Amino acid sequence: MRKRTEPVADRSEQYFLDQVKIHAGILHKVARMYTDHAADREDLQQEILIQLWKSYQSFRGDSQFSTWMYRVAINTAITFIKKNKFYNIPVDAATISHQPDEDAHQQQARLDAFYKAVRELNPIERALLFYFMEGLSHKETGLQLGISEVNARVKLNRTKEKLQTIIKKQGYEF
Amino acid sequence: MNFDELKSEWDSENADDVHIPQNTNALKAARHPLQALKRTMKNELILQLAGLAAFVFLPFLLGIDRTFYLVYYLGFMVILVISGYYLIEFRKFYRQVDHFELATKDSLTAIYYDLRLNMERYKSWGFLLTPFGLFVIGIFFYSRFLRTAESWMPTETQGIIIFIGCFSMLLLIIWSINWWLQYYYGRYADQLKALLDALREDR
Repeated sequence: MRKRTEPVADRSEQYFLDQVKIHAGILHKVARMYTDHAADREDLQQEILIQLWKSYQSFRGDSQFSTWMYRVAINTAITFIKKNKFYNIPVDAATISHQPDEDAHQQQARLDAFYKAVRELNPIERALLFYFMEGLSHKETGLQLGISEVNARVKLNRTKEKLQTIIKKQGYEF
Repeated sequence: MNFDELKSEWDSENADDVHIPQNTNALKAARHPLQALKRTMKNELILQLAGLAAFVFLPFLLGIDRTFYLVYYLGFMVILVISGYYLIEFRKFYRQVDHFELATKDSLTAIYYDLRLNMERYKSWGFLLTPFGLFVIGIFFYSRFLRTAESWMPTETQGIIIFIGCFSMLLLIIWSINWWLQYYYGRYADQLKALLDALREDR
């Protein structure tokens, strides 16, 4: 069944900001996946907002706002390469919170461990994982990245294996 | 690893740390590395343009002999016309939007090849200006000799020394331009290439 796309009848600033607020989770998650410090996270979120606004005038509404936002956010994050910054930052297992007796804390610790492990992957692998976690199919992921569905599936499987290895090395299992 | 559990935690994660302004005027100037590179290139080009403008007055400032004025300004006019072409192309590069809305591979390809193209343009423009610079130095020294003597012809040894000196200077300038471009822009281009390679079909 063909997805209905949202009409871009309103190109106003307010409509744009309202839509971004609705999908603010995308900014949060992309920033967490691509940066390791709060200050960098804020920088990247701001940069994504700027690029979203710049690209918004050429957004034709032929895809959902969220789909378009994914692309701009991921492309901005992938190319947001700072001087002397390396993506493969070794993670100290001691920095991951462990409070196994409380469910909420355990869930948070699991998510923290996930993000820290993700930041040892290269930018493309992070993008694959992001789309997977957002529930996109291999075909949709391939379209977002501009690669074939088969290539997306193969790369995603490899990325998941790599992630599991990294998490085990960190001394965290789930 | 249980991705299903992780996905439900991922979905319920809150985004309280995201600050969305009340209006877009509150958004700060872009600090994306690509924008920074373009700004740097633009500033360098403005300086070079200022330098080129100074060449208009150089014959008077350096006391170059009047007999050389015609050939000097003819050469300068050629350089000016060629520079005009390059500056128009550079302007297109740093004014264009970066197409982050495209599929990632298309976006990276467009950015990477645009950057490489403009680096090559910058290089070839530098190479074109260099012989004119050497020409100006040449007529400056020859003007000075003309003031002290009726005519001056270099000896064979002097000719060889001048040739080697000019050739070495030319090589040094070419090497410097290459090094400068690779150091300031090439590293980012290499990182973009690495990202494109990561998207290639696995065989």
